[in-house]
Amino acid sequence: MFKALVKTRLAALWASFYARGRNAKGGKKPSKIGGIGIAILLIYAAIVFAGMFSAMFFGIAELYHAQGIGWLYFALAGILAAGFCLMGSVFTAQTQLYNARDNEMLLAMPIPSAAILGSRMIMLLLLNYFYEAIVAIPAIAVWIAAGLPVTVSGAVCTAVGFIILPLLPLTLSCLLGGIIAAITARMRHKNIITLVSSLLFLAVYMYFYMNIQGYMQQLMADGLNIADAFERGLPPFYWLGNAAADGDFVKLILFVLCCVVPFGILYAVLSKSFIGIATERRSAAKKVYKGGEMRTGSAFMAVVKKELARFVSSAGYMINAGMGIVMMVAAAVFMAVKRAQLIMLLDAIGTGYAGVLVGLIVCALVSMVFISAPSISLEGKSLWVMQTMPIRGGTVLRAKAAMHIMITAPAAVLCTAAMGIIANANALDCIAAALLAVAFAVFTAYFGVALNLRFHRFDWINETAAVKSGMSVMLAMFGSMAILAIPALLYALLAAEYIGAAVYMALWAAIFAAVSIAFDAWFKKHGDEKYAFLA
Amino acid sequence: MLRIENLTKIYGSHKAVDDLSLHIAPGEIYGFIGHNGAGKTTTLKSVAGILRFDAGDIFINGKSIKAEPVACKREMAYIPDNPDMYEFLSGIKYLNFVADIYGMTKAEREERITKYADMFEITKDLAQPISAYSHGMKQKLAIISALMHKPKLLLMDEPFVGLDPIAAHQLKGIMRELCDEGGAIFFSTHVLEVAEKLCDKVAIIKGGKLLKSGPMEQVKGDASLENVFLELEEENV
Repeated sequence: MFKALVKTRLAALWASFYARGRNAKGGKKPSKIGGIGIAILLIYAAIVFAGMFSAMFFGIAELYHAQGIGWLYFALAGILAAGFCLMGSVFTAQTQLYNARDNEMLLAMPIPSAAILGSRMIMLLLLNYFYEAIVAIPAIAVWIAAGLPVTVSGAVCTAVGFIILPLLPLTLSCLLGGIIAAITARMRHKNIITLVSSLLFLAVYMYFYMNIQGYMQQLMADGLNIADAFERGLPPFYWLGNAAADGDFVKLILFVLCCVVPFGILYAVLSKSFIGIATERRSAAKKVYKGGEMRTGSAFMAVVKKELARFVSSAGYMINAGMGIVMMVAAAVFMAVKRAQLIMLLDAIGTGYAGVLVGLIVCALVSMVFISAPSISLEGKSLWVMQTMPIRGGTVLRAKAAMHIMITAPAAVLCTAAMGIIANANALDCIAAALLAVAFAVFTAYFGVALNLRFHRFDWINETAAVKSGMSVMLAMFGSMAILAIPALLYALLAAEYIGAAVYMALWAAIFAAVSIAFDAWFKKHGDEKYAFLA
Repeated sequence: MLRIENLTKIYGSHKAVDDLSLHIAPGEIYGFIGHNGAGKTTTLKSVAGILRFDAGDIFINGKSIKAEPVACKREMAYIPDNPDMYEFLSGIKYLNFVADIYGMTKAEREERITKYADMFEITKDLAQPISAYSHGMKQKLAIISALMHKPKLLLMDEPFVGLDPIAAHQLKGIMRELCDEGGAIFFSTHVLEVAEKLCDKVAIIKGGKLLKSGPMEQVKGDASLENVFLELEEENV
């Protein structure tokens, strides 16, 4: 029974990355290629992070050993692994422990609540091992590769320490997950907290990434001070570091107790209160309808507004599909901060290229906005609503593209203007760059809808999976980037010598506008038939 | 009002609906009965214009659903067995969205939303997001959205599932009222007692084929509809 529960949890975890059920009528099975694709993507992300950590560990391994603070190396690896595990699993803990949809179904079966909780904890623990491996394996490998001493007792302590370590972030993520679940359950706009925390996380990540060189220098220069701080302020990691570096079994026992005891207490408390947690009905204050004047509008605008409401209601949709807009703001700020270097670079390559550079950068950011690409798939089980109403399918498709344009085009124009001013581009080039960015935004909007019309999926379990993992999304993003490479390369290799920047950008703006008009005409002609029978 | 002529729908090698013909006149409540997988939902979806069929044709008020789908949809409404709607909208925003699509005036939508929301006792809940609704409340909202533009033909797939007794009673009254005003209703149900009391005509389907159809009294004779249904099922094993 317990094995079956764990298997179900692991399947749910996989489904959160890659959700595809079986279509009763169509009989579609989960696509192996899609599954392999997601696995490759996960492995790729793990390798990128592992590479980043390896570079950091290479910088400090020998230095710390030479300074006699080799333990700090493992203590740092431990705290980084714990932090990585906590960040990676806190939201999963929230959904799997406190907001799991199958809690009531399982509690109705003859299964002890401790077993249900245990199966969920094991899934979270395995997830934490995955995150820990990304940090711990490079740390150990770098230590060995650097030819630093490894004793049998040290190896045993390292192995035991890192096997036990994930219990610590697991305990914290269960506690934090509970707090988040309690807060969000009482919020009317749950997506806001998710959106804000995700953007905050992104900002912290980008800040950390931009300053990593400084942190590395600090780690290398202030090893002794950091060691002192660890010893006094973070004893569990101090013990882990000493156990791993010196094979100190007493410190290992202290560290193990630090991880196991809080987890044991948490497990016991949660086991006793699991039924209450799983069945508690938390809800935001009920909003009562008090009537009011109703606004009328056209059918087209009704669909546009509906699409907009869907977009702003889902943090996952906004964060993933609208990332390009966030990046537009970030890029403009970055350019303003690094303006001196940018001007120097432009002086070196020629100030006449400023407009083209701005236009292409904004277009590249526009290609990261793929709001329209999952918009048909997102209809999911409510597809019947539009299909049974007296509105042409072509109108629905065009409204989906319009919503994408409404959000992307103004952001692209503002970003182009800001960047143009920062880069000292001339006014004509700025106008042409803005035209190009808008035309490209219109093109990507139609391109996304057309791709989703061909590659749609309505059997998703959670909305974010539909936004992130569809074929149409991948093709929309990478396809539009590849298409953008054509004008960029043509200009760099051929056109720059013969044609002015403004004329070149206006020409490509006309090409993208023409393709968009062709898409629009195709939607009008064939969209009704294609959309009406989607299933 | 509704004419189904030789409708055939095939999934792979399985004939879900096999040469089915039905005629529903204005003023009629037509029940559609059959076991699970008999072809009821496939037929209803084909009539609603969301399922492409392989042969035959469907006419709504003389217009072919194949040739004039938008014009046909303007005259009818469909309520599926699972009323999955836009969970991100509040009930009132959803109804306003539907009203926009049907081009209803401000006065029309205000009057009808008030009328039906009060009748089904969900007026206070209209500001809540649909995601917070129970199955029954979603069903009520789907019914209101289907009725508010005064359809001439109402298609319903298991409409009474999830409704409380008062709402079910209200719905039966509305169905009769709609037909008395010249409309028609075609609905599927597994509750044979409801069909027997409510329907003017009934069709029994099995394996995609029509076993029996006609006026209720003629189909059931002196027996109950349940007995007739079970006998027909046995005869056609």
